[in-house]
Amino acid sequence: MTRRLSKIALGSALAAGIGIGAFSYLLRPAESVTLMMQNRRSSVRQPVAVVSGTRGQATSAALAVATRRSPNAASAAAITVGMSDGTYTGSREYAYYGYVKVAAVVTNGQITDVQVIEHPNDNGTSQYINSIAMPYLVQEAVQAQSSNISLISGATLSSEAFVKSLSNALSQAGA
Amino acid sequence: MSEAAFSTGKFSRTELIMGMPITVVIPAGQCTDPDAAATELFDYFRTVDERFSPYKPDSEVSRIDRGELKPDAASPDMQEIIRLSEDTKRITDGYFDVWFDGHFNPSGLVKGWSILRAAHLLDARGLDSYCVDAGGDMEVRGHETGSGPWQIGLRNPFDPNTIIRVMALENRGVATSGTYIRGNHIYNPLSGTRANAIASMTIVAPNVYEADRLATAAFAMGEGGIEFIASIPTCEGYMVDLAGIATFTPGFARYLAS
Repeated sequence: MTRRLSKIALGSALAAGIGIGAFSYLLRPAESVTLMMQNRRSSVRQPVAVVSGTRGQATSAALAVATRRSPNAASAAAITVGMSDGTYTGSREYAYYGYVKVAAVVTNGQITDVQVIEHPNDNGTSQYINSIAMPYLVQEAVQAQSSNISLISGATLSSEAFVKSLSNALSQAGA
Repeated sequence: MSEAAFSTGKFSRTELIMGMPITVVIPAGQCTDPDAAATELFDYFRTVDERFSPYKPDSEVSRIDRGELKPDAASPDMQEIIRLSEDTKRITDGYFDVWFDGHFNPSGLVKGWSILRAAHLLDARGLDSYCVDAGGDMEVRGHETGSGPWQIGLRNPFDPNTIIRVMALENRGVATSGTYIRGNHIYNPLSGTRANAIASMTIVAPNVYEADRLATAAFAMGEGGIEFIASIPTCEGYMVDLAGIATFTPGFARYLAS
């Protein structure tokens, strides 16, 4: 199975079930993934549930207010919150390209299904999104290579040392 | 357009403005006086620096930051930036915020915006092929040579002397947010911490303004940022995580030359 990126308003659905904020989750094969929820007022992230997932991803169409637990937070204890079983319909959320609404199904205290109730499909752009941009993300290992290409996109090379060195080089070059 | 004064190769000029190298590249045959075009372009960047630099005490940004200048009384350009900032904050769900820790710093928006404005100066001169590169973010128009797309390297976030990919771009903006060289300079405004889950986030968009602001916001989101980019139909993203694994949107593949 490939990693499918599903564009669903998981956050709002779960917000309806749990009560605070929107969040996203990301499942990887054979991994226990901690669902993170961010309380916007305190800006404190708390793990709210642990899901042993099958392969696949879902993201909050409310644009990922919370993120996967970062590596340096790995020591934080995961807390399983006992969610009440049931199906919870989320709020209708604007997601840049349209509105989305989903429902979350909780069984035995864990999320077992997320259903898309509404997603943008009422115009050409949205249809494009649904057919093309609900994509499979692609992965590869990065490999360093040298090149003689002069134009390079990267984080801004603007350390003082770099700028000094470049200034010097440019002056030598007669700039 | 008459035959170029320079018949082969490309015109290229670099100056250091706003603390970063800015380069304009104009293929042969695009205009009779590329040097004049470049001068106009660099002069424009200097006026942007005067107005928007957070390091110059007399800039409008510094005066707004100190509360001496009300945004309503600022220049039309500043008001446009403030308006664009609010729009960007909204579509990124707060991940892009020019107010952080009580300070006003719209640099994350000004860079891409000013590159695009500078590119429009070249458009006005009738050029249809050029590249304007400001610190690794660039507006790429037309062709590099003949009918070929521009070849743009994607810098290795773990070793700035190497690249990890070559992109073939025409009529696009590209921007990369990352951690190397400058250190970790992007904050997640929602948590107040430095964003550090990923090594670099490269965005290709219809123009550099879009690419720059989305790269900044997506980088602040961490690993979820690539999914945010995937939700925007006109933009593609290439994210490198700290383990050296790249995750990219399917549409990015069409820009990969090697």
